[in-house]
Amino acid sequence: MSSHQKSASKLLKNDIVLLAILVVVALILFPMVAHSKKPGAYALVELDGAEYATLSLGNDTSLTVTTDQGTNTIVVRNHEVSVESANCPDLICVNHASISLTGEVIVCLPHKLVITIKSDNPAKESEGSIDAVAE
Amino acid sequence: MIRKNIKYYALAALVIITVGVALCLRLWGGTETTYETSFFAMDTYMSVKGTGKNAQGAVEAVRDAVIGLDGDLSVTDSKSLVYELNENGSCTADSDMEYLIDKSLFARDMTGGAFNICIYPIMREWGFTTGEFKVPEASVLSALCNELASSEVTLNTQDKSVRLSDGTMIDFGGIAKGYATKVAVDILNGKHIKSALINLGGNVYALGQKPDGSLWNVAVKSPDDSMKYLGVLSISDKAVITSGGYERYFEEGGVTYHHIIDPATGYPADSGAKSVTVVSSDPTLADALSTAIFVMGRDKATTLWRKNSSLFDFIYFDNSGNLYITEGIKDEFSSEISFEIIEK
Amino acid sequence: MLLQNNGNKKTPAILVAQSGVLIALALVFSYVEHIIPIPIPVPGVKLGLANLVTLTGLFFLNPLQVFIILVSRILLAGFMFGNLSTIIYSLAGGIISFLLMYGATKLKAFSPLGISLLGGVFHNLAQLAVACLILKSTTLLAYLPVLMISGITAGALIGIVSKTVSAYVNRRIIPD
Repeated sequence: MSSHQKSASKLLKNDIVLLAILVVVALILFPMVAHSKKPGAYALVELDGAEYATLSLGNDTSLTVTTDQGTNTIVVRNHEVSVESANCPDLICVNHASISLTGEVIVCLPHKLVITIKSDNPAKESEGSIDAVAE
Repeated sequence: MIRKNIKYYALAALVIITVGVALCLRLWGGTETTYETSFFAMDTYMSVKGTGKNAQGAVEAVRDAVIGLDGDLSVTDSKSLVYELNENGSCTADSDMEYLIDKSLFARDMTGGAFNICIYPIMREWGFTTGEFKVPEASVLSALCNELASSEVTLNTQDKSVRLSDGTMIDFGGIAKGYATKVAVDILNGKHIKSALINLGGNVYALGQKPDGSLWNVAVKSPDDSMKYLGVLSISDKAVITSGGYERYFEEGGVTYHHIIDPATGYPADSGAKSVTVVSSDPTLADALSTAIFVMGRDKATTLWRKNSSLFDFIYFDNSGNLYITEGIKDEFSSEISFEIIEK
Repeated sequence: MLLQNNGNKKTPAILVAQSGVLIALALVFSYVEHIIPIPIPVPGVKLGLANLVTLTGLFFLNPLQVFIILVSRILLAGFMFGNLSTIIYSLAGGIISFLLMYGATKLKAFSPLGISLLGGVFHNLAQLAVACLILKSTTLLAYLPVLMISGITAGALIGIVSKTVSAYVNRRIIPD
């Protein structure tokens, strides 16, 4: 019995090492994968990997996408994008907080729907863009 | 022995759940959002846009504060403190009024009286306050100007009581939007919003930098139809406030009378300025100075600036189409028309 | 007697009955998870209760038997309360994590806690990989850190429970 206990604590030690390694890897990955803080310019809607639609964040709109996989209603309001309703089984896309910054994503896996926030080409977003006019 | 272990395991499980959920939520929650709102206040259209962890809460707090301020500072609303002061010649100042009186007196002394909140009776005589414009009699204006010259606003810093000398009536109109901007900025800073753009009826304040790290680009509107902008400022943490006769005026007998009255003459300022823009980190002061410089004209304004160049900069566009800017903003300002730099 | 480690004493009938019970158990776990939602809105974040069966099974049963239990449970759960994509993602996650957990038991370097950690993390990694392939996009990789953390958390929890259950089985049933 005591030999069993000795190797048990060695196993536990390995476990802790493994746990530590995994957590460190996850934390290292986090900033690499974090989206930028830029507010996006438009939302790219992809179905099954192919571009389906682009929605400008500047205009409030609502887009319902129906495929043989199912239906999702995407809403743009106040420069933010969210999925208002869907008939997928897990409703993860609907429960997701609204996204507005470049790189943020909402996904509906069962319906193969991916919504990504993108910003304009850096070339377009040059010094020429006026943010406000003092008058 | 299993009973003992179970307790140990249960504790470990609890710790792991808490840490795990916390990490997940930390990685996933707390994102920054951008929230923008527009509303009507102080007789004009205003918009506030902020980016931060609680952008919506902060921006809505700003909106509520500005709308509240509008009511408090009204000269015509009988419920406002300013109305009470003008009616009775005295009142007890709240913190807003205290700040405004302090700043107004500071601006008045700084500009040699070119900015003066006691100008209300004269403004009223011209009809700028009611919309019923008329050109007053010269004798009436002369009397009012004399009264203005002896007008005094006294604030007791101990008990916060305010007294107006006989015949004095005040209007914070020339400084209200600037103050509202200051209030907005304070709220945003208090809520840790590091990036925001405030536009209160054309008074712009650029807080921090844009979310992507670049400076805010604020254009200065041109009073001429011939071009859209006088130029563009790339700034951070600065107010940009413009004054110009073209904003409010009326015509009578073929002559144009605008709303920026020179306290010394009682008539619309005739200093040669067409549009004055003040750039400063103090929005209240910027508002007051933009009016004052329009009254003072370029030479006096330059003298004033040379004594206070750390407080503000200005852009001056005159009736002949010449554009001047003070040295302090030469790196921030760009324009399609040529301009002269006023040096220290 | 039912859970003896040496498989040669079991008849096919016993194997089938035994597996049936375990598949049913795993199915119940799966269904319970399906009903109770977790407040984290990321696809793939789940407790993995059914893995309890797989993991504990690996300590006492023939690995092939465990594998069959796993696949059967996934297919049945998919037909009963999932859909085709559920099955695809579950199979991907389940098979990869099974292989890793099996390898880990062979290594004898980790306790049930560690093995379950591996299982949990790689289950999620595999599912993420499959999702990227199906959606033909790498944008989903943004979820990688969250899925790792949730895999670690769930794996740790299941591992701890499994350790307790195994100890219980070892004491109460094996000495038979």
